[in-house]
Amino acid sequence: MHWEVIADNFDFLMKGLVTTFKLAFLSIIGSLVLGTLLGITRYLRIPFFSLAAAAYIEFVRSIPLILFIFFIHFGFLPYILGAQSSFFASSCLTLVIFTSAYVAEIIRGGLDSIEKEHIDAAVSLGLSKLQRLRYIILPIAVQRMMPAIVSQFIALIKDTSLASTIGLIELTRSGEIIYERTYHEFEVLVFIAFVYFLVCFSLSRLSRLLEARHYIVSDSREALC
Amino acid sequence: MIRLENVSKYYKSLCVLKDISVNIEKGNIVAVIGPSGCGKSTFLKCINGLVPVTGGKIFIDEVEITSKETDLNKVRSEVGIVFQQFNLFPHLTVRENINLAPVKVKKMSKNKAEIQAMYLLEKVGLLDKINKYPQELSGGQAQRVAIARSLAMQPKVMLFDEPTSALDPQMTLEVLDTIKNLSEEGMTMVVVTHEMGFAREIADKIIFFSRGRIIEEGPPCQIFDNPVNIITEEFIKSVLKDRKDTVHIQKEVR
Repeated sequence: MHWEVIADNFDFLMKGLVTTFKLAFLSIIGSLVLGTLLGITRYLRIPFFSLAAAAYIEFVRSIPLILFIFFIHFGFLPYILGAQSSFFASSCLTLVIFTSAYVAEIIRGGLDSIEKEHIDAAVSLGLSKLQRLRYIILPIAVQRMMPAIVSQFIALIKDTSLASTIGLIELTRSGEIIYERTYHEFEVLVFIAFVYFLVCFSLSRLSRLLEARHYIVSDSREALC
Repeated sequence: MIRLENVSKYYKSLCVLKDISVNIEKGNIVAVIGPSGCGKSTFLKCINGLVPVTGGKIFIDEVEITSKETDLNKVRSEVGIVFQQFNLFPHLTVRENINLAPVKVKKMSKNKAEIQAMYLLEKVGLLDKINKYPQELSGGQAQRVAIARSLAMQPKVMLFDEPTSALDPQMTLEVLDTIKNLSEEGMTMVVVTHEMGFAREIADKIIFFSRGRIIEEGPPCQIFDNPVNIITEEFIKSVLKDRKDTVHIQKEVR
């Protein structure tokens, strides 16, 4: 066992991790914004726009992510838009397009899950359509969607590793560079896996903590019944 | 105050309300009774525009709410409705449930809304629950909060859609007492109910529905003791027989 390889290259690996973080963070923000817009468009059933959103979602969900990365970086950006882009920008754009389709479906599902009784009550109190969405439907839906959204973002964090295939030096690629030079695949890969686990597991625990208040309330309901 | 002229409601070809004409005076309390699925709830939901009518006209304070030019949101803010399942917003505390509409729709100041919320909760006897979530309340408490929430909009009319059907007898009493207190303040009310004793006690007028039509309307003594129509008579008889147990329990509790 040659675990010293990790210590020797620790700074390099951490630099890769920082890139992974940056990529994941920007993609999460981007896909949350785009996904919310698409999801609300689907929910509101606006003629044409809802159909367009549905087509986008179905299209994106039916194509493998790795193909998307290649296509955006080598096909779409250079040939169609005539722009050569950085590895980072291509990866980020791909992840936003890809994850937003899933986020949109989660958001639409969450919005659709709001019982008619809550909407009836809001309508009866004289709240306008926008006020109903803002104060009643979205807050309840967000609470329900949180677990699904968090798992989608955990998936996104792991998916950033696919950016290594076009050459972005993020965590996975920096590991590859090290074991291609040192031949210590086992140690490096185990370490990288452990780092991914640590990041994803912390995020999952954090989201459970944030949900906690909601669960305490439901528990007390059960106690009353 | 409330006037319906030849109102009808169809769901596709299914007729739910047929040619309903009613006049409800200001300060009157009207109880709507009838077998399940006869259109009572739909009738109520038409009055605040929650269910659009297929034909006919509805006026509230001489404003035609069935006209396209009427701002329905404004009408709704003046007509309070209390639902069978309470329909409190689960993500908001009791305070927020009550204050949301006054602040956002009526543009009431937060301070004023807060004082009003405390006054209303005091009135329904739940001031100590102001910071609780709906899930932490019993059914009867939730329904009383729902009543306070409707009152917070200072409505001209209150509609009650089977407000006690989801409650056990003890909780039913709490809620009926709250409604009775309101009636003593001169609020115009329409109550859909299966509580015959209650209807008889508080109502100025009873409307008996069957199969989407008004079969008979009149003062409680007429409907309960000397119904003109044979269908009314049979309904009253069967209900009083079924309800004997509940009435008995209610008396015991009192």
